[in-house]
Amino acid sequence: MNEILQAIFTIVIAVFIANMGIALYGVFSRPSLIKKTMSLVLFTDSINMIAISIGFRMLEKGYPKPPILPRIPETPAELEHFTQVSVDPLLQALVLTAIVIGFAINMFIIGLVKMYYRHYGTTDIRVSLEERI
Amino acid sequence: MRKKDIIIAISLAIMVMAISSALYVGRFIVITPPYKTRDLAKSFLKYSYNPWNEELTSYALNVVSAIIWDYRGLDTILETAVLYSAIIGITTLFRGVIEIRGLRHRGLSFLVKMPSRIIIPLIIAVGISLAMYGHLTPGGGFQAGAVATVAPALIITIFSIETLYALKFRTRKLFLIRTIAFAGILVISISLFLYSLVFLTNAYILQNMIRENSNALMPHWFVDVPLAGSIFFYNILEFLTVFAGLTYVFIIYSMREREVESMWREVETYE
Amino acid sequence: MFLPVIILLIFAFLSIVATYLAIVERDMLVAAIFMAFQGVCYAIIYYVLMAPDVTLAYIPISSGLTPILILIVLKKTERIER
Repeated sequence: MNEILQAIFTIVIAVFIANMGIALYGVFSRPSLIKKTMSLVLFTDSINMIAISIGFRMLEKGYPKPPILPRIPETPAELEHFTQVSVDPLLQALVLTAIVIGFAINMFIIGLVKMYYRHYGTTDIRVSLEERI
Repeated sequence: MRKKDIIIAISLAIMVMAISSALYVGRFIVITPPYKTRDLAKSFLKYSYNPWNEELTSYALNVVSAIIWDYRGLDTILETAVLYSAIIGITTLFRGVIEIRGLRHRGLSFLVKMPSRIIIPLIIAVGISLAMYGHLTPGGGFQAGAVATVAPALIITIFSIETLYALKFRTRKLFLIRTIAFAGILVISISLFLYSLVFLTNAYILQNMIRENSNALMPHWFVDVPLAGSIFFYNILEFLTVFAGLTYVFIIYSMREREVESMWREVETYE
Repeated sequence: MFLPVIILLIFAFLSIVATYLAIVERDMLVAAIFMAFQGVCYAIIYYVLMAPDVTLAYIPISSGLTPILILIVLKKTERIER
């Protein structure tokens, strides 16, 4: 069971890196501003997913547990058993902050896209590139 | 969505998975999760609810909430300030807007409106429950705010925005609630410090429970359920902050076109 | 006993299909629906990797707020990219 988990974990990390690559390709190859914004959102999501999968762990027997105490512990031995079984909680706190800040920047970028449309009449980026030449 | 696109997508996925499994079998790239966690994570898990060591504990059963609001509370307050500055930036871009009232019969068909009248109050109830139990079960302030702001967004999409105005959601009132809740978070973070100045003991800023050299603490039991002190109040105020701020942005983005055009004409006469 | 491993494999496969289709599509309403489907796949993977707080924060943002925001902007600008 543990060997299968190791193999699947390598495949899944490769899938996340491939997602990152496809979203980065989408940022610079499509000429519409809204499509560029959507590709940036996909890129941010893949990076957050890689950060969470660093904090995973394996046990000899069984599957690990989430970092929440299921009931009020009554002896210190229960707390010791909990620290041997649970997943890393510090990375989840960092990823929560990253999700909030990413969403705030996303909302601001869409406001700038609306201002661009009001000035040029279209969301195509080639129209503003022709003006410079 | 033509057939050519679907075939290319499926073959791309199969190629990525086949190459990575071939690299694994040949022992070239092996990425495995470890058998032991780091020592820092072990100390956070051990001291988050520990009634036998009163100087390092925080009486919260949810370890991630204790890390966010108690052990690294300054990071979360600054992240709320980043969200606040994004909302101020959006307000600056869309100045001079006037709201127009007047209810009209628009929106989607009757089959869509009927179930959504039942679901929309339930979404807000789920949000409030996630905020109040944030220190005992998975949940917290920001999760509750994000869940509860789906309800006004659905009202804008299914009914019309005039329905939202008729339910008394004005932009000025929402911005006021947002600012007052953020000021409440800052007041709670220095509350024990002011208490120590008045009663002449020793206390720190952003303090939650007993630490070295100081004996002041916030309430930590509620009849027979552990209440994690300032984490409970932070969760409720963060819920109000996020709900009011995000609904304000959604209303500004989806107003009628006439209101914003009057602002644009004013700016052009200045230049 | 193999259930978490099988779920991880299937939904990783579906997420890469949905990402590619969301970028290649020219009608942006359909691309927003593909983004919401990719958010659902990622939320299930977050649950299997034992992170419940991140799941509860990610589900309303990726499947509820971001597609509605893009729909509001599409209504006021162009819908089909050229």
